[in-house]
Amino acid sequence: MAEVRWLEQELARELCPVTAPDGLWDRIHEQRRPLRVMPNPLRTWSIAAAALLMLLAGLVWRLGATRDPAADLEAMAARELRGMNGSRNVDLRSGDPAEIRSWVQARLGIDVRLASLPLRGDAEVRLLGARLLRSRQFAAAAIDYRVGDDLAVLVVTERHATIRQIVWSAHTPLRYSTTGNIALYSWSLGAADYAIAFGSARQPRRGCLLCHADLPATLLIR
Amino acid sequence: MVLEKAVWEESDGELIEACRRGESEAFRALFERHKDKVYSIALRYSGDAVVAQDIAQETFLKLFVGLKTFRGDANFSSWLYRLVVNSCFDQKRKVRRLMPLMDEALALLRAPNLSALDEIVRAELSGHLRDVVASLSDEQRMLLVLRYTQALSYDEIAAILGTTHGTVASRLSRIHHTLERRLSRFAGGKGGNRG
Repeated sequence: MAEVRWLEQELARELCPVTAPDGLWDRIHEQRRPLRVMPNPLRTWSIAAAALLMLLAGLVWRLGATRDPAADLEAMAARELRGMNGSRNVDLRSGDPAEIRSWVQARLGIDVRLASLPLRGDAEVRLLGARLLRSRQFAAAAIDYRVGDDLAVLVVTERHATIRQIVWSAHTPLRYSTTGNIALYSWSLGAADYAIAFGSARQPRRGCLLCHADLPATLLIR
Repeated sequence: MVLEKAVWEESDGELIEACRRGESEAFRALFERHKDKVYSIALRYSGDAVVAQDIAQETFLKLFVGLKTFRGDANFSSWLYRLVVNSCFDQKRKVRRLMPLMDEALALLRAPNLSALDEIVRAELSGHLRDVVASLSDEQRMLLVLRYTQALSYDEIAAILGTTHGTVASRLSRIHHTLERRLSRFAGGKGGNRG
């Protein structure tokens, strides 16, 4: 019974009501407006052309709106992780957290606070290097590392958000998902978006050790 | 658009009558009163903000068109729920996975001092819950949305979906069992691993 209550609380949290977006009435209102018949062919053509332009603009807007920046970053991290099987060129080959931190800061202006390595205990974290990535949407840095035998990539990019969100926000809630045997975490912190792809979906929390060295060892394995 | 205070204070029935007379402010007031409810159901069902806006738009268009024939003695709220539920089911586009879409501000206000581990566990639970809910059938997902997004009673849900109290109860119970089974490691960790 207690477990059902716990589940109900989680469902209520996950499915909580939201506020409708501001533009909704405009969409409905535009749709409700009756079309008037225009006998003048020139005007008809003008309206048709305008409607076509609006349709194209709507399509462009829709493509943009459908895009999910966090999902893009997660996909990029997963792609990078898959590319790590075998040797791969990196722009900076280094196992030094301070050096990688400075390198990323110099190129993207983002301060990635890595844990001091090497970590003691079973979960050995080893940095492999960093690379600059460029996609059509954004520039990012990928930091390759290993946790024990598992490969991992941290991808960081300038945050896709409004100034207000950046100024206001601390660490946004983590998002977690899996694809195959890859665990994906993404979040925003300050002016940057982050995603981790970790090569073991069975023990994904170990991927967080790159920055959170203080996670208790007993809690790394679920 | 600023609505007259008097319009806001009118009941749904009075607003519907005003809509039938063609008073545009009444349409707007009816929309403002119910937009969050409609959009929330659409969003939690579809998991996609763009699809949810399409569903909400379709629902309100059906509502405005249908007001002419709406019987005053019927329950407006139930009718509106049925409209949005049908619009959700009619939505032919492939739905993407159910997203949390929690407002960042609310999420942080709810949990301002989470440790890194708490955040990680929370994210994992949320991700797994989303995946499991998204894998349910359309009808099962709608049951959860009506129950947990709108906090409707079994009787209210039964009236909207055209079924009985007992059917709603047994279906929800089955869904709970499914979710419990698939999220068992989190349930077990509530007193331990969840920190």
